[in-house]
Amino acid sequence: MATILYEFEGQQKELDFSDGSGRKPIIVLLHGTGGTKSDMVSPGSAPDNNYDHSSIFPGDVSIGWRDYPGIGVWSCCELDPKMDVLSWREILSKYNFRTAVYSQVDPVGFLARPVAELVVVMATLQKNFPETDFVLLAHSRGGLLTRKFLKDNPELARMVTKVITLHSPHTGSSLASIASTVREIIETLQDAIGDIVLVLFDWLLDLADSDAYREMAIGSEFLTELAKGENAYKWIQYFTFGGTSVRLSRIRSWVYTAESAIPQWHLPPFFHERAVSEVPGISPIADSLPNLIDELTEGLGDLLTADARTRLPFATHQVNHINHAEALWHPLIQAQVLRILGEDPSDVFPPGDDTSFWG
Amino acid sequence: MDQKESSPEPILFIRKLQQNYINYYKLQAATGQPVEGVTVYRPKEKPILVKQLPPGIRAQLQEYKDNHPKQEITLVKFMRTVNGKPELLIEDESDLPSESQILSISQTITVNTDELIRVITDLLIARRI
Repeated sequence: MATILYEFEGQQKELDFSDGSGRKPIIVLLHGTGGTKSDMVSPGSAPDNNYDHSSIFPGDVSIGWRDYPGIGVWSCCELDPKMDVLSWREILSKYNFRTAVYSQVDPVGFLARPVAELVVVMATLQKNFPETDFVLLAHSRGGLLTRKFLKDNPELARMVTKVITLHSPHTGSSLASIASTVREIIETLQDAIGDIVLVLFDWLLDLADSDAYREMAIGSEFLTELAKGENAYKWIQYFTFGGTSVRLSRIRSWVYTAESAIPQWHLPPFFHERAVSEVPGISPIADSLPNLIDELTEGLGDLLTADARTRLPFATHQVNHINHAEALWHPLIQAQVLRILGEDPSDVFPPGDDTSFWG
Repeated sequence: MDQKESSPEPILFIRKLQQNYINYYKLQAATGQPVEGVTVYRPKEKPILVKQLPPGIRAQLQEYKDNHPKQEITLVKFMRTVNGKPELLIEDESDLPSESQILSISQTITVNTDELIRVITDLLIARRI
């Protein structure tokens, strides 16, 4: 791992560079709204949304003999446990790709400064690695950052051979327009089941209420200007990915088993056991939220973007049933990207077990 | 994948009941002490009579008999606990009926105020043949 320094607006900043094969392109990893380089390097630490929502629940747990019958809820509420995940940098390094990653300025602000910063970053990389091909791999708003950079900087665009955007709202997001409604829903849920809701959705509120999402609102001046006169460069291959799952985590509670209420010929007479159950009416989340917008609708969105709005007319599109955060580590999408990069990722995701489809 | 609480498996519960069973009559005989301060009576000393059973248990026993008219039911053990402590124990040296013959009927009644918690549990063990 090496650090490449660059200067932006008079300040020295760091670009993390991981080494690999000189015969392969350098992958520049661009995070999304509200993120940092951690999104692409250690998503299990931040954004920390790697809930294992499809795991089998653990078996019944013995509590012990009690004087009283065990009836109803033993404890509530908890989320699915986190799972180990491989970041984009880790999986790309495993395939001997060199990567470059940095934390953008204004992660929840307007895009103007992040675009100016990317110009400096790419110029710095070009200077350090002349005659090298680059791939831009961008999550969420990073895709819009990429497009704006390429459109405004055709000379630097010559160093780019592939653009891959992961769940980027290319034609906008409705989230900003319903920020206050989302806040009301989340506050109602918080009243019902407590602060655990904030653990899940605080970040969503922050994003919905940000300048970044206002700038990405459907039909915004920024998006209109970006699309005006935008053409694909002939030497660049474009790929987009969209997601259609709004499931983040189940809300679990421990309930007494029915046997805990039945006395046995024993003193004390009740043997308590507890079992995991989903909280009815709320779990899983956010499947249970009202389908206010496509972004929050199972089968159409990924919590922050709607699949239909993650497409570009000049890009090859793939759809996966994963949520917005899972685009940072899910083996399915990592395998698809590795194939785009010319690799055979059968050890990451076995062929034939691929549930995605080409959109 | 949604996962809801599964229904209890009757045979598994009966097996747990068998595994956890303690014969308090034998225990009393072995130690020479009442069980938690309560004398264990044999059914010969204190017969378990249907008419003396708590009404809820009596009703469930009658319903079971109505639904299984060919079965012969014998009442073999009775226990009452209050807040988990025994108040009445009736059993002899015989073990629980086998898992295919056991019938257990129970009820729990609670009395609660701001100064009182009473959880009264009655448990009847019968043999069905």
